[in-house]
Amino acid sequence: MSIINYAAKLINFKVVYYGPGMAGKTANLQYVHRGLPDGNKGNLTSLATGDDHTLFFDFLPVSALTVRGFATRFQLYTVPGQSQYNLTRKLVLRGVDGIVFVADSLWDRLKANVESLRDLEQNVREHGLDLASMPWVVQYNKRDLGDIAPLEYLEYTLNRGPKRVPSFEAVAVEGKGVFDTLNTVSRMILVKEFGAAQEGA
Amino acid sequence: MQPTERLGASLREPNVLVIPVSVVTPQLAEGSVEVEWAVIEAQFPALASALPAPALRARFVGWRLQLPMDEVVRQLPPDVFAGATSVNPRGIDAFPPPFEPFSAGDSRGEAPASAASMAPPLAPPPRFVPPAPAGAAPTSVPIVVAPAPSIAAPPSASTAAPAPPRIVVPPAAVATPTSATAPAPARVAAPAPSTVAPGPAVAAPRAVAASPAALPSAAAMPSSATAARPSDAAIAEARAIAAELARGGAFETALSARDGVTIAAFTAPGVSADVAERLGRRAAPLVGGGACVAVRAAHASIVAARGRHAVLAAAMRPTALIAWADGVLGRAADGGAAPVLDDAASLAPSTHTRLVEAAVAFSGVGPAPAEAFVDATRGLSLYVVSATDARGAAALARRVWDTLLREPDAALGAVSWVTVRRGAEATIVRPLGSGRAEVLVAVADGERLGLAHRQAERAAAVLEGR
Repeated sequence: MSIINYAAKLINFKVVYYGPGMAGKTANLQYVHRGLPDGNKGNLTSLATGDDHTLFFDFLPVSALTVRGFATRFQLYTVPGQSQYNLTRKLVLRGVDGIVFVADSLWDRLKANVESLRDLEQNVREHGLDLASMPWVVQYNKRDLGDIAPLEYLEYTLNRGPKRVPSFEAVAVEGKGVFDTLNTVSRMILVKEFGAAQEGA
Repeated sequence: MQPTERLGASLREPNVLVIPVSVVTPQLAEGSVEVEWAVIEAQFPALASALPAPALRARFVGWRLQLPMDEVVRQLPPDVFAGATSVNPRGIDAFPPPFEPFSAGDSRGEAPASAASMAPPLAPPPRFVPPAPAGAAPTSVPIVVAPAPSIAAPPSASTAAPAPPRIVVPPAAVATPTSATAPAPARVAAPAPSTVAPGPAVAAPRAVAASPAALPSAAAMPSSATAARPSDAAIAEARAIAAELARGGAFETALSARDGVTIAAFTAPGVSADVAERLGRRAAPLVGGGACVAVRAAHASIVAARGRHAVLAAAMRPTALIAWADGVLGRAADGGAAPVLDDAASLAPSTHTRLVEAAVAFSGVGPAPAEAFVDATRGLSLYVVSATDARGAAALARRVWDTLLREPDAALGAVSWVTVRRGAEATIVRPLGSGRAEVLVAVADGERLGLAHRQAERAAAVLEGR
């Protein structure tokens, strides 16, 4: 749910990067943080365990374009992907405006992807939302590795049915596909907030 | 050879596990596919584990093996996952991209995202390999099966060593996601065999049904002086077998009863329509007493066995994996008496300069008993490698020669080998490429048939001077 500050003419949107453990959610945020000019970003807050798993969440505020006189700011969050942190994931999803589902392309992570997507659907539902009516995209990460599933099969498992969403191949550690993913989900959020007929300023 | 390699070579279909499509498709959307041990158990040699089969089943109730998804997915038809249409969310073009990396053209790694539906891919994506056509052997990839005991086999370093086992999904019709829970049905028909003249009052039936259960009733079958109506029991048996076979691929079923022999013919797509019926009829003298006969030939592969009420014959493409049909028909083989063979004493001792060497090649570990025989009446030479009754094996091979090899079948083409499996013993009859009537007869452990075929091929190469 967007937070509008009329005094400051500022709208805050919340984007959550969701997906199985080690899929590359934090890598996305790190690249966004590196890739944006200083004036457009805050500090990247990251709480990671010693083995690079996200312990709580990563947070990165980034500012973007102005729409109808309101500056927009996107707050990017990740969740810990490991199954034991479901309460944290549920908490992070509160007030979410858009979701990037970061899938791991490796063959041996396919089941984890499917389980994580089901977990996402369930957690969103518990917040009274419906994933099918929310802005969300899928990012198939690690496309540079050798032992990966074909795109067609990833789409079959994670993005089929009547309500398909945009999907992207990515190599998050190199930045490939990172901004396309973020821009698309952000624009989908803006459309939902302002309507398709509104022009950005 | 490593134990896992020996196990792979000893599978019913060497180095291959055949998994029914009906098991695979309902699970595809889960990102993983598991198969119950009971489904594939028959493809393993009896001594594959330290426990007898019943004890294994009792100890690991509901044991399921996880299949390697890369092996599974690349064997499915490409159109299974097709249909993804371009997704372009409505209205987003009204807003410019909110975020721009440092500068356009900055080489910090940003590349046009290769959206599945919005932009070209980053790199050549892995392509689906269509299911192996019948004439092509699928690429070998190690199988990883969990939980333990694993049957993974590392890639062999030697070209002579067997390839590691592969999971094979028979290239049958694959259901769409919405109908994925239904097993791929066999296309079942009950045509009037061309050799059977329909009765004057009965039109030749050729009903095509959607499921094995839809075989026509016995009343619809033709009748004539030599062609009888298949019994209800035979039809019921054919239905049951068709349903079993359908789990591994599409087969068309036909029943014919003639001269006192009922043939239930199951024909896979791409195989001459009547070859199963014709070869089943020719193999009938061989398949009594629980025997299961397999024929690998240039234009088709045949598996035949005598069921309770009919001779069952399945015809597949020449390089099709016959393990599934072999297992289904082998389990159904229990009817009739063992064939009475011609007097083995009529076989005269003979020689072959490379016979001992061939026996070594077949045994794989050292000298093995080997004898040569000749049947002067037929002009047939038989080179037998057998630790048991060599003369009896030669007599069986002579019957195989008479029934299946002496007169070539145009629809079948040149026969590579015939295997008669009865109980724990398998007799491989392999015609030699000498242009003369010569066969290698190799008697092997039927539980390690894949390995036996490989070794028989080596022995044949020795005899042929290759």
